[in-house]
Amino acid sequence: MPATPKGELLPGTLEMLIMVTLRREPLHGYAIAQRIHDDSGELLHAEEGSLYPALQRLLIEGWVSAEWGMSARNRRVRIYTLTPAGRKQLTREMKRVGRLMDGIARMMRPSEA
Amino acid sequence: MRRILRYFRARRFERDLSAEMQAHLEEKIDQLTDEGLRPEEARARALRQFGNRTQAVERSREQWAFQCLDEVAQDLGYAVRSLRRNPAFTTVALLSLALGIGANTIVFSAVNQVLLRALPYRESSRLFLVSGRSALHGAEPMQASATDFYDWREQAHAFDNLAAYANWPMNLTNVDEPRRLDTALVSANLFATLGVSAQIGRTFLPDEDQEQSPLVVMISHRLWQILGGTPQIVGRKVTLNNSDATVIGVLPAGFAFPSPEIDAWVPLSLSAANRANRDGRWLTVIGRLGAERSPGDATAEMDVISRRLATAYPASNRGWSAAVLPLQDELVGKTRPILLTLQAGALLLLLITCANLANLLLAKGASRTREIAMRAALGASRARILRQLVVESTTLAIVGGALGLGLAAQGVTLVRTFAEGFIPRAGEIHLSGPTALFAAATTLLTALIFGLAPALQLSRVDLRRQMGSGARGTPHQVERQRGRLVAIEVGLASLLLVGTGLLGESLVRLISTAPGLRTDHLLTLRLTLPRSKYPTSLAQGAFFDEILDRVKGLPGVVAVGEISDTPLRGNNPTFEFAVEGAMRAPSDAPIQAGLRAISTGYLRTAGIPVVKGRDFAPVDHAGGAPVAIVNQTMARQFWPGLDPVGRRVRLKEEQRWMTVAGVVADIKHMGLKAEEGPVVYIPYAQKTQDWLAWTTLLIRTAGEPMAFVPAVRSAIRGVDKNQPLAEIGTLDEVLARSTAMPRITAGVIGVVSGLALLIAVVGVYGLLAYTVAQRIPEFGIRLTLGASPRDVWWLLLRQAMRQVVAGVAGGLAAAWYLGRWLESQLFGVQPHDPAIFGAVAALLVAASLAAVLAPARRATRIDPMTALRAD
Repeated sequence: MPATPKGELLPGTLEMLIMVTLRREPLHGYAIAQRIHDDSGELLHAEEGSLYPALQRLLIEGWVSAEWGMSARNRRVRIYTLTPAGRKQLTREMKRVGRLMDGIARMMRPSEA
Repeated sequence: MRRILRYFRARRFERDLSAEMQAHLEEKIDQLTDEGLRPEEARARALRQFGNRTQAVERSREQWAFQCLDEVAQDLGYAVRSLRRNPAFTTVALLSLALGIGANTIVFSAVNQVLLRALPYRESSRLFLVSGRSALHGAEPMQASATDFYDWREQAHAFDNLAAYANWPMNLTNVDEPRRLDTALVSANLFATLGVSAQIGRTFLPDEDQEQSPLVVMISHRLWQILGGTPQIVGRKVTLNNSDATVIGVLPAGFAFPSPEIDAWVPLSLSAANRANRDGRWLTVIGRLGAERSPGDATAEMDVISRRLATAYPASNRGWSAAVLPLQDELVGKTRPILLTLQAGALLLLLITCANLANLLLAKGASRTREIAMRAALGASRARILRQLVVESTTLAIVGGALGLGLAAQGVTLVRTFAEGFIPRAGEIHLSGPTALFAAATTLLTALIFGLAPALQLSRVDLRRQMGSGARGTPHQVERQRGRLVAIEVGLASLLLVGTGLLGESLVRLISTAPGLRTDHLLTLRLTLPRSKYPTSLAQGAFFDEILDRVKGLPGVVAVGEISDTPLRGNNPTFEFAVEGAMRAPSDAPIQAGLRAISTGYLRTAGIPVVKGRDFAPVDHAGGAPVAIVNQTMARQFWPGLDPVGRRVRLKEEQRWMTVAGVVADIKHMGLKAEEGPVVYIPYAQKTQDWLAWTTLLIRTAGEPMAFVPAVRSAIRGVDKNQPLAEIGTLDEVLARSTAMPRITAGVIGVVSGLALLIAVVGVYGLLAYTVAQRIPEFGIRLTLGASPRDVWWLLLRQAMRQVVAGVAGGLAAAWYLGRWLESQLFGVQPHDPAIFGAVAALLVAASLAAVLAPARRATRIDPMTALRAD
């Protein structure tokens, strides 16, 4: 389980976070890690050791595609793009997580139980 | 294929991956440097944060390996382990699958070879039977006269070739053992029409069927082997029906036209008189359709020709037309419904097997719901669980299918040996490519049918409920689906049982049909005289008389008689007759009746009662007044309410009147299913047809008939040492043969529906036993609260009967609808026979009640306290 002191990710969550990051624009691996770190208000940290396996999984599922390109620092990197199938999957995933969060939130308010 | 591609793609991705990670690291170092760290420091920090790089690569690679090979191997291993853990289930499943798939494969190998595969002739789809058809005989295809054949050949242009043939047994002598050869007389162009050439030597030349040309013969591969099997056979002189003949060629092994038993082919050389005879219809005509012609063209053309002939020769051709029918259909026609019935039976058995296995899988799966829920909780996707379950059922099906194929390989040999003689083309039956393909397709389909539904059901298991509750209970929908499956099993079983009932009842009626003669203790054998040696009816008659005398004198022979066509065998040559004083309109169909020559003493030997007048007697010799005996149908049809004795009939082609001396009872000459129609018997001594040079000897013996064969053989050899005997057997055997096909069909379908009944009953039992086991606490509560055992009984009975009644209703409805399919195979039973439908319903209900007994007893004997404590 990829764990950092800052936050533990549930299985499947990293993939979803990657797709969320890619929703706006294609990015390379390092940029994705950076973006997750920054956008979560530094709460979440995508460890490299799990980032790349997750990216491979997404490639296999056909939810992202990869192409060689240049980074801002002019380095040869692979740039990942969200595919239409990935976009659909993300919508589904977000709904699912939404419900899950909702459920957890309700459970956490004992007064209503 | 996709797997392999994926493998290469995986290799590439892996290379890319390490380049990519390197870039990642460098980006990070750059950034840390930008943030103010010294380069060495930045590198160390980046590496530390990145963690174990090898592990990252390894885990990335896992995504691929897992995906393409390991995962399937894993599923497979899991499936095998799971099947091993349940040896009882696995054995039952494999056995029933092997049986179901094996039976289907065996029957399909016959269906494929006999019905589906093209005849083994060049462009066989262009080959057609051109059959005579008359208003008198309805749709029954009739043969053609030689004159018709030559007229057709001359006038029909839709055909490239028209050829004719007739079966004409001949005697082969001047070989070690004289033998009767099943021979076909064929027009010289028969082989050209079929597109078959000789394996050795040549086929007939166009003019070799002229009367003057020297006699030549082609022989079968089988006969060639018997005669030595050397190439020197070509040109060898043999004696056929006492004439010298030259062997000109050997046909390839397996050539079986017009039928597999034919050993020799001789040109059809007709005398001028035979050529001019329009009344004798004894030739079968086949044609090869021209390249640009359709069967419709040919039919239209044959219609025109038939009308022309009917106008020109009204006496012989009025009311006759010609039909153009695909040769393959005609050769295998009667077998089609039988084979299709067997295939349907086998398929239904397989369907029941599938329903049963689905049921068992559900039951097995139900006890696994917690395991499945656990796997789902641990992150296995629904697709993954689904695949796991499907791999399991497919493994079962494939192993079962392989076993079935092995079974079929054994069975097919058995079937071929057994079916030879009953089913045309039976010799061709073997496990071929298409058959193996069929078995494979059946296997996969089977796996899909019995595996997918339970898998879908189980993979839908509600995770939270299963994990949350500690209950061992089955989800409700699983139980409902099992109920449906049991209903399907019961339905299929009742459908099959109705089929068995109908076929069985037909068979019973068929067998209990009186053949009209006494078949016990009757030895029969057939003699065919060469006309060159016995050219006239007189010479033939003298020979037959001599044999009768000698055989009669043998010790233990009770009676002996002769007839031109063996009773119960189905051969019934009919002729046109004139009946003196018959009230007939000119538009009436001509009078057709069977003609049989018999000896004095035949009727007594066969046990056919004379109901009026007298039997033939020695006074009816060649020089005596011409007499005839008619059967009751003939009497009823042409002299209704009158006494036929003393009235006169004659063959249309002769002027000689014959006086009716007596009336005999009808017999089942054509086999038990059919009536023989009107028949005229004439004395052998008075026959004028010198072509009628054969006879069947009927010998009533004091003991076992077959024991008399050596004595009879030597008695006949004593008259003519070159005279071969054929078709030696007992009349009981002939009778049994005539009911062989219905017995096979009823037997096979009977066994199949017995299995189906068993499976269905076990299904009902399993469902109830399971319910009882699941609901023990509930029953405990009910009993504690004062429910009587009877209430529990009712509860269970209602549950079982819901499925049974639904199944029986569905099955009987299907049987009602499909019944007419069987109609052509039924005898004396209506396809909707209410007694049979009722009996099937009663049987299934009774059997299901029996299946309910044991579980219900268990339920009522529950000790409430134990039951309640169990949870």
